[in-house]
Amino acid sequence: MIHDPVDCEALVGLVTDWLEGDVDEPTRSDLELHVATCAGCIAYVEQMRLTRTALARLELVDVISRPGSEAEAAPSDPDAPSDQVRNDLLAIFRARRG
Amino acid sequence: MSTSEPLIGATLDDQRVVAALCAGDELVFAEIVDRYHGSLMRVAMRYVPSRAIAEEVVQDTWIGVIDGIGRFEGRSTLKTWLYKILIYRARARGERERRTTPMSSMVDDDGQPLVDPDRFRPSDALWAGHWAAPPRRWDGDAEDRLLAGEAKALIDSVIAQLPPLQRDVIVLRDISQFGASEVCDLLEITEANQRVLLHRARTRVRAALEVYFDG
Repeated sequence: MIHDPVDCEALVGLVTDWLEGDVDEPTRSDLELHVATCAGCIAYVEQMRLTRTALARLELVDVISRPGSEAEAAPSDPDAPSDQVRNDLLAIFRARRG
Repeated sequence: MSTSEPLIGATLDDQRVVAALCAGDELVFAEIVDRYHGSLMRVAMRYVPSRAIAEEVVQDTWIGVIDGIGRFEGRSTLKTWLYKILIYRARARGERERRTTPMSSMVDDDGQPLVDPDRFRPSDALWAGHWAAPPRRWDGDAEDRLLAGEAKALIDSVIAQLPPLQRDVIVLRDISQFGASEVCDLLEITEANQRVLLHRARTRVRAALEVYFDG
């Protein structure tokens, strides 16, 4: 049997370090070699990439998908301070720092 | 929207802002409130049960900034310092405990395997360690489906159920887009811990999405 320095189970443990660029050179080429011939791991790595993309867009989606927001207008931030909150904070700032 | 800064240590802009705040410049204070309040709210809401409490936590954070700005030493960026105050306060409100655990990339904090070991061939079988039940490729439109409300709600619920430090790391790294070293500084964890916590958290999110896509 051919010795495979990285098997699928090992790849699943290393995949984040690999995507983050945190593996050493021999490990990186072992991973590349493994993925080149393993459909299951190709799917797994692709899914980890998509997971990261989905997470990165979580905040963005909150803002963009807001009903009523115009495509051209700067998207309004649903979590921006209300006028009340903003004025309260400015009053506190004036009282303590002004 | 804020972007992650690779540099650790106060930037020139930070120094300008800090000097202005110390001098009582209200316009500069309003500027940083407008710049960061929304992002701080989104992080706070992952720690506490309601938007109202998150609002209080973020307001407390701003008061902490007003009172503490004179003690900002510029060893981290202003943004990192701001989030440090937020997380400290949000944790106190969420009454969560921090635990340190031995770090492995194969098992979770409670010692359970991150990925079901039955998905791999057993050690005495031919092709040991290879997939017995390989993941199936997600459809071509997976990227669009991941942006839909249903997938988003699923990801939110997985994150809410993660062990506290895993949640901290994935929220700050993958959602708020802080760099790895900034997150280590914020959470006072080592680089190695940060990597393993991120790995565990992402592995769990992927597993939930796999059930969603295959199911």
